[in-house]
Amino acid sequence: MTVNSPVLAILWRCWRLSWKQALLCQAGLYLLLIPFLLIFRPEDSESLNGVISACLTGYLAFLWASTLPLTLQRPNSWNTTGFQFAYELRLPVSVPQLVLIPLAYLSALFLISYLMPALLLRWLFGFDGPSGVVSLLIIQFILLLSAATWWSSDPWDGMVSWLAFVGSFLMGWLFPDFIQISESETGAVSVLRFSTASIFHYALIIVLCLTVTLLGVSKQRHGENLLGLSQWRLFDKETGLVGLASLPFLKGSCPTVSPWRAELWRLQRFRGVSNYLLFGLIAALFPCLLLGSVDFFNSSEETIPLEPLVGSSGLALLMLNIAPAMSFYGMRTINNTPQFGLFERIRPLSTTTLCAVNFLILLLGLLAATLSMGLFLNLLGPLFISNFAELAEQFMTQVSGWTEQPVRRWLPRLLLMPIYILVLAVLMATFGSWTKLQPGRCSRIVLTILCYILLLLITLVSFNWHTLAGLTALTVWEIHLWLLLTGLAAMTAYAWQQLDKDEVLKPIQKASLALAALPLLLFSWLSFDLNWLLETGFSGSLHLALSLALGLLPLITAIICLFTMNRVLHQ
Amino acid sequence: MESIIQIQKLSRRFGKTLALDGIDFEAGSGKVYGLVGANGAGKTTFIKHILGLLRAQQGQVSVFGLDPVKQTQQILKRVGYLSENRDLPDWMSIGELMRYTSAFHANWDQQFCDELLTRFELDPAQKIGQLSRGMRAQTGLVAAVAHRPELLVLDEPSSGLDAVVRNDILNAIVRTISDQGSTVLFSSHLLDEVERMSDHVTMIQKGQILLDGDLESLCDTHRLCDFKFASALQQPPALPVVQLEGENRSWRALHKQSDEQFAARIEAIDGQVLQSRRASLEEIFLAYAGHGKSEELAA
Repeated sequence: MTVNSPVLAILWRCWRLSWKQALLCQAGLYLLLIPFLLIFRPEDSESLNGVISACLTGYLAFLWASTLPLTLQRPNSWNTTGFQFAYELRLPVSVPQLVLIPLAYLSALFLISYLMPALLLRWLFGFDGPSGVVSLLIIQFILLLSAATWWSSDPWDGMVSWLAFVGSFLMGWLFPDFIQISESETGAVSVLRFSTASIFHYALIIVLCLTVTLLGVSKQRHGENLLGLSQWRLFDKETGLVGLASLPFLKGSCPTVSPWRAELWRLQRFRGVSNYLLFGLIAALFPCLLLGSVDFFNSSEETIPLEPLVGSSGLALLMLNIAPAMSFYGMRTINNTPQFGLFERIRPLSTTTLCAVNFLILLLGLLAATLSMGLFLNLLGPLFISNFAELAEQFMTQVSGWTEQPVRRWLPRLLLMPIYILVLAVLMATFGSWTKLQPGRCSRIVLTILCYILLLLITLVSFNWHTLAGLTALTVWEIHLWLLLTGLAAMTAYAWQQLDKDEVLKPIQKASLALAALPLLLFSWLSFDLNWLLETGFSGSLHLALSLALGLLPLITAIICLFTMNRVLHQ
Repeated sequence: MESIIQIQKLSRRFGKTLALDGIDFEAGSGKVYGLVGANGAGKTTFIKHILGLLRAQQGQVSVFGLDPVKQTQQILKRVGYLSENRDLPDWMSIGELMRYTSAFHANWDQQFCDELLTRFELDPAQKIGQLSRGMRAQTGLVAAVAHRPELLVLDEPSSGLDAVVRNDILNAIVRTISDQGSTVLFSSHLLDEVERMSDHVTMIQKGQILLDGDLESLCDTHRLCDFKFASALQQPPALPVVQLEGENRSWRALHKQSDEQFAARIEAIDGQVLQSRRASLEEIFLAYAGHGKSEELAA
């Protein structure tokens, strides 16, 4: 593409950073939503509109997340505030052009990304969603969120403006008419409209934010900030919370008595307790904000049930543990690109020691994060969720009900739970590392699996799976579980062979691994209620398959982890 | 002389790019080996194979008689390494980095470490993330040499260092390590630096070794000769040379014969030798690497 003006050059950069993501999101929407609606089309138009609106909202959120590089300065670091187009600040182009062109581009991109599928869905299924109002909301959302991020490069300012954004949103100051109308009798999105007063309200907020952003970026061009730069930073991109990491009892001095203790010290400092305390806070904030918003906009008398709270907290905890698990293999952001750091790879430590030390730190961190999350959830929950006390009581009742079961049933489950969270986090991080080691192969495998699952679902639904002779949903599930087990066994055998070839494991270590798997297998077997499985319609062999799969998963993870670490060390 | 590094027929491919192409290399103890080549020639890939950071796709690599992939730990304990991008943990202070690194090396020489820190004027309390590029290189260098490694591997060590540090301190450190019987392997694209510091030079281009030998003998065996003819030549004269350049009457050749032998050949085709001298490493490299690469290197 030939660009012969600054405007075109900035547009080109925006397009270059986002076209793949936008195209992928569009393709994903068409490939998933349209086949889904063709198969499971809701009976009434209200449900149809509800499903499509939810999908489109999720799709726009996903698109926003995937185009973050356009708005956030360094998406992989803590300091994500400040004007993103820092390189362009050195070029002969005016600040208004620099700020307004990317904003215009983003607005256009999101409008097209919303209107195209909305029109197609209207034509195909009679979707009755509003176009004009949602378009205005999208533009406003993009302008305000970008302004909140760009106006200052100081993380403190960024945090305050983001909090102000979320707070104003929750208080209904940013979208006043939207809230009022959603509380009307019909509650239908299609009747949304704006009064002249609300248009002025919108315009005033936007003009104010844009002015602050333009002034802020002008200051950033000369290495300054609108409100000056704070003297100390809240976050360190490598160690997380600076204040906490500097506490004397967490800091300590590096022990020099043995290499593995030195490595343990480094990892503890690098992603130790302070980070996990922060993770606990984020894991508690996530369900609070999510369910708090639902609670806030919920016009009916229904209260928040326990399941979403437990589910969203658990999900947040798991997702947050993936980030430190990624650094398990020494992956760090170097020059804004995730890479396997050389510093980690040239330590004279064996692969097994490296893995063991990393596992230990992850396990300790997970426990710290869980405790921290529980603490913060108790502190923040009542502020965001109106029936939090009731939910907490329900949770405690369920826990006590759980422990009233035989010890042989709940104790294995209790012991296995942190192990499985750890295993899941490490497996996801391992997959993340392989996408860096073998990007082409990984994407082909993922695409094949996704296509297979989609085809399987379509086939099952088309053939009416409950009545198809001899092939029930449970049988399909069981067959795939065995297939998964076979696949995992084959993968483990290959990994084991490679480890043997590189002499990674000593005979005593191999024996220890095999021995450690035995109690896990036993726990796994005991944790399943065979009677319940049989009553539900599952066969006895499923019990065996589930016990084997879950019991062997930690061992398989350990082997795959060693194999991956070895591959990272010697690419 | 004990062999420290032995490499046979080493090849490495990254996708469609052949980074190393059947390299043979051997390094003995107590010598300084300079690895020279343009950017992207394969120097860092070569070094990473020696440290076991890359697995040999073809060929064999042996360091201290050990396999760098199977016995990485044993090898790394005896090696000091300064990476090209100075990959150090930003959040550690210099003192913490030294203390941390010392835990991995039983023969860590704290006195030598302190001496070097003082020499570089590095404050142990200062955070690595706050260091300039040059100070970062100096810190990495101290961490790499303070355990007095048997093999010191420096990837572009002078990158980021100022002229004083480069000429005096780096040279002194490399000589200190070498004098104690250790081997030093360093890569650089600065030919004058390689000429000043190395005992042995290996030139790499496009993943292949162009030239490998002791610096003295390389420079001794390559002669640069200026000669002229009575009348202008339409075509270059047919001579057994490494490189020949010139036009009309005046020509210059880099050759590997004795001055007498070459003068006799020139006289046999009615030419006259104006002067003949020992070639510099830069002249040898430029002759082998070709003119295009020479400009890149000279820069």
